[in-house]
Amino acid sequence: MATELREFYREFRAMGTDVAFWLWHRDEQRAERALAYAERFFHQTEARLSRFRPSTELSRLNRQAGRPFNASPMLYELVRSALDWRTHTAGIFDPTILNALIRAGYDRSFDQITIGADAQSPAHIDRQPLPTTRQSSGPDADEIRLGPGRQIHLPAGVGLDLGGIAKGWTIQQAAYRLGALGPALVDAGGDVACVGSPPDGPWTVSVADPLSPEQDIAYLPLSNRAVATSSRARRRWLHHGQPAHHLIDPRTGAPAQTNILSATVVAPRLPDAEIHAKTAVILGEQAGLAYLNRLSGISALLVLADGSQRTSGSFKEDGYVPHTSNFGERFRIPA
Amino acid sequence: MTYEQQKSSRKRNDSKTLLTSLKLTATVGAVSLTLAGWGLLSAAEARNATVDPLPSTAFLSAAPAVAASQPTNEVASIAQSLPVQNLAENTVQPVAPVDSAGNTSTVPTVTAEPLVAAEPTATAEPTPTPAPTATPEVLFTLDIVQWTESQTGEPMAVVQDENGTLWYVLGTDIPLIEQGLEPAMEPQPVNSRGRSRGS
Repeated sequence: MATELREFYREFRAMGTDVAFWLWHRDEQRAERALAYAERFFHQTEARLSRFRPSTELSRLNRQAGRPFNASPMLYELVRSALDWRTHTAGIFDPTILNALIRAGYDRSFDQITIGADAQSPAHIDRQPLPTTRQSSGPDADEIRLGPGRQIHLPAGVGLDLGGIAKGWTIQQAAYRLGALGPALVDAGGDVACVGSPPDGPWTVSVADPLSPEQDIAYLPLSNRAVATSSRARRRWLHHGQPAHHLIDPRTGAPAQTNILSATVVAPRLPDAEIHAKTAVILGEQAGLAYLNRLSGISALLVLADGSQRTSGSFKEDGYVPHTSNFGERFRIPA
Repeated sequence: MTYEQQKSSRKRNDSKTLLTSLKLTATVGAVSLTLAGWGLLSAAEARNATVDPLPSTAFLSAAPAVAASQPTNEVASIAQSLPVQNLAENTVQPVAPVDSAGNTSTVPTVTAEPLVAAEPTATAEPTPTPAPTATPEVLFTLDIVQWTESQTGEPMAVVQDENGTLWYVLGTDIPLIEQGLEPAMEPQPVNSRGRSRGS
């Protein structure tokens, strides 16, 4: 006997962040099974792609730099996709920034950086787990070769960080898998992908204010869309007494000097949103907006260091931005 | 001192006593009049307030009068409880001064001056009737799906926008939003699920 659609929910911790699933379905058992399966998928992906665990496939690939490595289909596709994005963004998104990240002090899961006793200490930063002859990513990265039989050949001294793109891909895949059963939304550490719409309207996703994380700066009605925020206000630490963050500018090999505090991008797929957001932050206000405005099918909200906001595409029209949007405009009903 | 001298002196003393007494009486009377004047002022203000609920701008212009009456609030409150006629009856009438010869004078004495102090009644001039303000134009009509209340008991409306998204809107904000004005509290989505933040 058919019952009414209900919302099912599951939350857990993976990839160093909080993950939450929402799924609408009529059958409780099937919904719970699907949620459990999606959670397992998260853990399995992390076990394969985390750069913080020495046993993962990605860590083995990085250790085998200079020699060919036979990759699984998942890793191979992600590396190929990351290299495509590097071309598309003219090198601003670059998966070969691993060594620069480590030099900047991001050499362990951020949970450990913030919780550890040396959270504000540069003591751990001098460790260089990867042998390197390069000071930063750059032209040498072009030498990464993808061969037959899913073979990946990293040049000696080059390490890959698939953090953003791997996480975005995992979230999007989980949303698709849950979405096969009913309207679904996956939120992992602020990266969100959704499929379909609940019965009472589109999914509504809020956007946290980077300057005041308890507050929201926008609300987005979403259906079959994804939203990612890249911010230098989070995941920051002190490196030799200097503030550092995780958004490395491949042109300098150092944390990006940018007047953009955060970029929120809405796109059809989460990996796209992730990469556009990161690229915009690294480029800074002018070049970042120019980059975003050239893209079709996406919209974005930039928060600058002074707290002012810039939007791209139809962000203001699609979403509701308190204090800048007129709420009444959402009701285009003649009085 | 002769008897005549003593009598004359006693008469002068009696006159002084009488004069002092009269002065005291006149002072009390003047103070009473002042209080009564303020009472009337407050009564007038109270009447104005009752008849013409002041719009926000008119209220600002009335503020000085209100402030001027504040020191006598207690008296005024008593005065306001009395009909105007009673106030007049209960007020001590100014007493004409009497000279040493026992003649009354029609010349107003200094003690009567506090009457002038009652001039603040000028502020009690009828408050100009505020020009009728134009009824604010309604620009939008909110689609109120349901009424509910906040945790603190304030009326909240559940409003659906043209995308189908449901929002909590503070009840008192409904007319503001419909007039295109900034709401006092930002509407909150009813079904917010994910929250995008820097990662």
